[in-house]
Amino acid sequence: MEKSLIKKATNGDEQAFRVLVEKYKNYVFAIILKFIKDNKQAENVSQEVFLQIYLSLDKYKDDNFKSWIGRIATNKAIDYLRKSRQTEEETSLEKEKIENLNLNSPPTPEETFIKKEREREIRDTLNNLQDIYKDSLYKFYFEGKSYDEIAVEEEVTKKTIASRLYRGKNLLKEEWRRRDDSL
Amino acid sequence: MTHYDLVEWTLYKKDLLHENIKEEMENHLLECDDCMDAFLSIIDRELEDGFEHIAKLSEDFTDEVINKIQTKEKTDKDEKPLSKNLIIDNRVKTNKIKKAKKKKNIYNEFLVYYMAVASVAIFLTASGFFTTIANRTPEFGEKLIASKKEVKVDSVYRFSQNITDATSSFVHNFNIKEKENR
Repeated sequence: MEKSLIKKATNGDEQAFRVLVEKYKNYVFAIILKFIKDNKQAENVSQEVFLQIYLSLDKYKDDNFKSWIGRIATNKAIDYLRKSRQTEEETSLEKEKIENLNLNSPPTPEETFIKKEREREIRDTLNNLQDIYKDSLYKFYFEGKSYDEIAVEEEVTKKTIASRLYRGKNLLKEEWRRRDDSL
Repeated sequence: MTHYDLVEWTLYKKDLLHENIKEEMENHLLECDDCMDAFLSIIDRELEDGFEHIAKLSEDFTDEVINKIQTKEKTDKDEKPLSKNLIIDNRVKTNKIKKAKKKKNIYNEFLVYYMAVASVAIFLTASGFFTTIANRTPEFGEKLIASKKEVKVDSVYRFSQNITDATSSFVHNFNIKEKENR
């Protein structure tokens, strides 16, 4: 069924392409939202994704259509982020203004609540781990510190930090599974 | 190449990572098929679990997509005189050309094999290989027949000789017995 829709859409059948858009729009939107928090921008980029899909249909090789669409969506979203960051760097005087405009509209109360819930959840999960793992995970993933920086702070070698992060991640995964998370 | 696992992609998805890490992971995603598959599988699972986006798509999303396509085609037409039908025709033509090229390639391959076999045959003919075989075959056949005849004649002779020897021996023994009986 889907193959025949794709074939018709490749030959310019607008109705067939509409059906495909309806089928995959939520999937594409979910991907874009992972990268772009502004809803309006995310929707615009999602539309651009489908335009790109339409123009590239003749290159599609009858493999896995959903995966193909997913890749186009991810590439488009990352490309958008890169351009936004570049614009941000180029106009540094208005940096804050542009950042807010392009990447994030002020979060809604709902969004703020959900983000705070996620942070609380991850902190609770990490608190169940030993300090050496918890501290390394926090510093690396949430504070953005490098292996070198963490090694200096913890007064251990880089290799030790790598080992702690590896072990810490596995423990974190087990904790999540224990809590019935989707992981 | 640094790969990221499900834990990291889940943290990314939950938007809990520092900006530096996020950027590194995004750049990596463009280059790594395995990590792309891992990331997309997280999205799939999210949708299967019935995740409700905070933001919903507008009702006219699909109409907007079709509008964008039509605008794009119109813009392309203004730049190059191609109508929507011509775009379709070009696609169909491209497919036909691809099929024709594939057919041509098959013919080319057949021609190459034919030329190779013909070259070998010409070489063998020129070097006298076939002539040698043609000349030697009757000689070989004659030799074979002659040797068979020899074998036949030899065995017949031996058989006769054996009968003669047996008969002589019998007669000689018979004569001796006769004399003894007298």
